[in-house]
Amino acid sequence: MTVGGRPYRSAPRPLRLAGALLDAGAALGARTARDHLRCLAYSNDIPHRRIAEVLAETGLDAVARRRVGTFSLGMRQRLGIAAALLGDPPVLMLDEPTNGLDPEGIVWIRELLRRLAADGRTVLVSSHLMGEITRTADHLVVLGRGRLLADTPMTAFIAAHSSPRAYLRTTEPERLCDVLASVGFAGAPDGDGRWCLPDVTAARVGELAATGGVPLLELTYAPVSLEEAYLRLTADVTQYAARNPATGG
Amino acid sequence: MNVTAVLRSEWPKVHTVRATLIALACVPLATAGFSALACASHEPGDGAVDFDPVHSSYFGLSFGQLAALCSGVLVVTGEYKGGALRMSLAAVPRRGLFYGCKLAVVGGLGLAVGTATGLVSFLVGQALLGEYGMGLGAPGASRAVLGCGLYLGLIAVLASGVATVLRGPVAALDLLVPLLTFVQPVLGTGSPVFRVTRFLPDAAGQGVLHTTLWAGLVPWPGLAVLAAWTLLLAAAGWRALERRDA
Repeated sequence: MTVGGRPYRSAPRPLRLAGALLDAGAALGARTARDHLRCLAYSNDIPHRRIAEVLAETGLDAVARRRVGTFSLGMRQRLGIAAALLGDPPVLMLDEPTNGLDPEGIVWIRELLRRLAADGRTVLVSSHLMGEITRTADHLVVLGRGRLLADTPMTAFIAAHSSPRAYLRTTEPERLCDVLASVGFAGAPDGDGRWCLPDVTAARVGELAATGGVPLLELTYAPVSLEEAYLRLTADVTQYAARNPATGG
Repeated sequence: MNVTAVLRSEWPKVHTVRATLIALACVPLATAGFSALACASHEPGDGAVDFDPVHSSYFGLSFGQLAALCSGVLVVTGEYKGGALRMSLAAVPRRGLFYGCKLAVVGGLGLAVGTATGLVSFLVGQALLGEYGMGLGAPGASRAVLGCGLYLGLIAVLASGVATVLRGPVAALDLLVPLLTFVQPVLGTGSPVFRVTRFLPDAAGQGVLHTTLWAGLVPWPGLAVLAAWTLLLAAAGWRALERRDA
């Protein structure tokens, strides 16, 4: 495996080349958080002060002398992130960094990731949480069954794999249908009086409603989420899908 | 990556875990303690013909070596618990360097603690033997002290090798404890089976503690046989570590 074109295995001080968060706190429970970081720091000639720095950065300084075995999942996760940051590396690889974190921790990690990226570092995050990724990532790589399915900027990915949609409420649904039908759009009510119109922007609907004189109570535009875009892209290659027993597929 | 840095990181891995420290502390305590009991209860005339005063000081080694075994096992299995090995290998991706330094620390500690154990056990035992006691200048005495250190160091490395193959402390100790502490004492040195069992790691290595009348291998070749066992099992551990995903 190479990082920045250099083989990781032969790097003189690998932790200074790339930091990784593997599964939550890959550490021996009998050791304290500080000692765990100490062992890692020594092997890569990392200055001692970095231990205190990453403990403070991850909010673990108060529990630094507690044994890792007594940590909650969220604390272990923070310790794993501390270990990844230890060598102050230009490249970070974090596997599901929000796992086990409380809401405050999730906000913290989001800001941390953005800050690390703003420093000019490459931050690679693997995640199944689409909402988190939408908020933090600039660039997206999608894998499915070991194949590379996409490697594009986030906005381009969403634009390419989704279509716009508008939601509205009106007092005169029949007239709205006529107006929409005249330009080739079709909408359907979604149960509680709201109408969903696929493949059209809110601006266009507003325009049409105004020309047709249809009164609108509400008009919103909902861009398709990353989740939907992802599901569309990977529909064919999903490895473990729950089958719907009613439809048999 | 440099060896010094990796050695420097392997050492705190040992002394920051309480269980490993306790195991290491038990090596001199058990060896000298049980040896002292044996020496104190020595009766004048007890089997006068085959009485070996130097070896009496190492009666407790069968117990002390269990602690040395545990220390070697714990250092390795600590890496396999909670996925710690993945992080260790991220820090030191060259597995040969990682494994070599780990074994060097285990062996070095075993040798240091073992030699101290050998000395303390000898002095305590000989003092308790009273008129039958020997000084460090007696034939075979200093050899036994140093031999005790080498024996325990090799046993600890051997245990680390086995633990690397088996990955769990229970499995490793299940194999090592009976093999190294039951087989030879239970079958004894008198039976014809001993012609074979004297080549087992413990029987072979313990020849160095005898000064008279020992049916097993003579001191240094005996330790060489133990060293060969250690090399073999350390190599087995290396093969397992090199081939398996962490």
